Amino acid sequence: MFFVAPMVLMFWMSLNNWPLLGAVQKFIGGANYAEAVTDGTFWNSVLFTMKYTLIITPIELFLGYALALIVRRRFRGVAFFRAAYFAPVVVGFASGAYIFLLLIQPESGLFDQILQELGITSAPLPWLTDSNFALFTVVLMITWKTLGTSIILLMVGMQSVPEEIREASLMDGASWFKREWFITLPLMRSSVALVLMLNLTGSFLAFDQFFVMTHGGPNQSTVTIVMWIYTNAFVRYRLGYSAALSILLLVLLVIFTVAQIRALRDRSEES
Amino acid sequence: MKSRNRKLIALGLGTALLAGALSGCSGGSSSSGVTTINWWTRVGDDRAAFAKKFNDTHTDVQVKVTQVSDDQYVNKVGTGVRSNNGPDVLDFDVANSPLFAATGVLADVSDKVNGLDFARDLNPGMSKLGTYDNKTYSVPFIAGPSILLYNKTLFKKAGIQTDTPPATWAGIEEDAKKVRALGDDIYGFDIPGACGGCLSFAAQPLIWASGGTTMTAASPDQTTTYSTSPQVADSLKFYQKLWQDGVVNPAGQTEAGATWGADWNAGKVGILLAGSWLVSPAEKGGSEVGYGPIPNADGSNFSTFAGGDNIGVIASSKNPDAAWEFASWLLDKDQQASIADTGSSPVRSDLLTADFAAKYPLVALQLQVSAKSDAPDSMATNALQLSATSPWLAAFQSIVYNGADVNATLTKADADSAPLIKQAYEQAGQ
Repeated sequence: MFFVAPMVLMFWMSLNNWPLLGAVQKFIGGANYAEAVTDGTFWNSVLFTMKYTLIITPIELFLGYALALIVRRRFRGVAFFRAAYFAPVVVGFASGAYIFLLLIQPESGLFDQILQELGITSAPLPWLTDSNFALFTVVLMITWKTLGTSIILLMVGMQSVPEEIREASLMDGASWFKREWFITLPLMRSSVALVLMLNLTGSFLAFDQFFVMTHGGPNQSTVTIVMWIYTNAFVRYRLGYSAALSILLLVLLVIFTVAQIRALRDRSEES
Repeated sequence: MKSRNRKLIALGLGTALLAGALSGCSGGSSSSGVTTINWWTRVGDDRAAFAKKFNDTHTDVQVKVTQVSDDQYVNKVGTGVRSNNGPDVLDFDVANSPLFAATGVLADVSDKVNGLDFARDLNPGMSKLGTYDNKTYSVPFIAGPSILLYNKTLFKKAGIQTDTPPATWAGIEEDAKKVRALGDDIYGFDIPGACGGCLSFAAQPLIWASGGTTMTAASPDQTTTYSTSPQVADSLKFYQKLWQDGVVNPAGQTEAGATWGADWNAGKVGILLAGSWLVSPAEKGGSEVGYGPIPNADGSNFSTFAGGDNIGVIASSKNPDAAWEFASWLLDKDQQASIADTGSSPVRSDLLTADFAAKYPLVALQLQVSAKSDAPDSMATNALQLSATSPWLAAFQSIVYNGADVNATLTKADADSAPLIKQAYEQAGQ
């Protein structure tokens, strides 16, 4: 009910010229969708969002896996590491972004000061003024902010692998890498799938971090899909068009998620 | 424990506020013969005081004030008006005047405004934005024009005279270079380069003072004039030069508004074009501050951004007369004069007497520069110039920071702007 009703309303809006202000609401059929097809900024935002997703997802998976390995077993101080990894997760996206904004200020920011003290750089880095660097900065922030979730999910997945199986493989003389690759990883496939799926949807819906940190800049090179939807709704006041873009985003997301589930499931059936 | 108590208190307050807001929405006349009107306003401390004073001095009309945060203002007004439980009277960022007029949110108050004996004393730039299609939909209420601020403490250290502010573009550049020479983290100038709304204060006045404009009059046939008004290119080249000189604070390149003026307040910036609200924080930070008008290149003229709040009556209000009674009461001399005490600027030039100027020198300057105030006048201003994805902001950044070719960039900005204007007016059914 609370999902379907707004969806139906949004689909209806997407078929209308529906301004935020004024009463000129008019049925225009698929015109919003036709416009979206030729909307260069929209497709650029789709490409950029996919690029961002393709960068962030492997980082979350591999770095998350590596760090999960460290905190997998109990040892003295494990609670500290687990807490330290997870702490940034409870910071909001916007708050985290603002924290990073302060850290990367060219004159007063901590990052440049440390890098310059260590002699690694001699001048402030173009954190947000170069388009690739801006993406890197956001990826850095998001990794810091969300890696904890991936670590916890992967760690739980690792712990669910029965110790006997691992011990058996150890007896059989399997190396550490082989045990991870052929035993642990396949048995925690569902955890990996969950991490991949959460990262895919999370990055596809990215907004706060870019809205606060890059504002889509420099030169509109970091405009995500949701940011473009926001711009059309609340800057250009075109609710109908932004509804159409939202529907397209939903379709894209469903396609990619289903493809991802299929890919992971197929392989598990083969093995 | 303490924090839990605070949370409970906050929760209680929140509930009370919500209840107040909901009851405020019902509005309308009550049986006792007292008309209650709802006033929506931007966030500002002095607003509640106005409502209290009005209520204490009026018996037939009472006003309920609701403060709406800036970033949600247009959205809230849109839904409020649509659902018929919005305000009767509202003041709003003057930049939205053409939007609220052209979309039929505001009532035509031309006759009422013409009946005011001080109509011609009202802030001209803000009045221009309140007028659409030769009808008046909103009037100036509180002004926030931009001025040139300079840090006298840094100027003295750099050996520059501080009696008069820099009065030409060459003077600004020269003084900025001297201040920059003071040291590593001291900059001569600061530009809020990722904030379209801030650039209305900090960049466009250079264009207007030079006799240029960024767009033609508000109408469905409106066009931007970035490439056809040569003063646009001149002022952008001036900023490009300052940037290339290395006198501009590099942090400004990504300044999106939230920390605008932070380095100035900390006493690290020599010259800044901004609103008067950045004077007292810098003084509290230990700097002596001077101010003057924003000049054209040779100092023969000046201008300012007609920033601030306009006030208007909602077209669908059930009590338009009571709403106007309150709106026009806010324009009375007493209320307007009291605005000066808060540090903002009144909108009536007839307040500017010698006594007033002696008592409020900073406000007097704001009233003086407001005589030549201007502002982007379009129902698409948000999309054209203010938003992070606006063509104007993109062109500004390319030219000033990346040294892009001025004419080609401005021609592209005009081309990118045309469909936004067309869309905005088509949306409104014009």
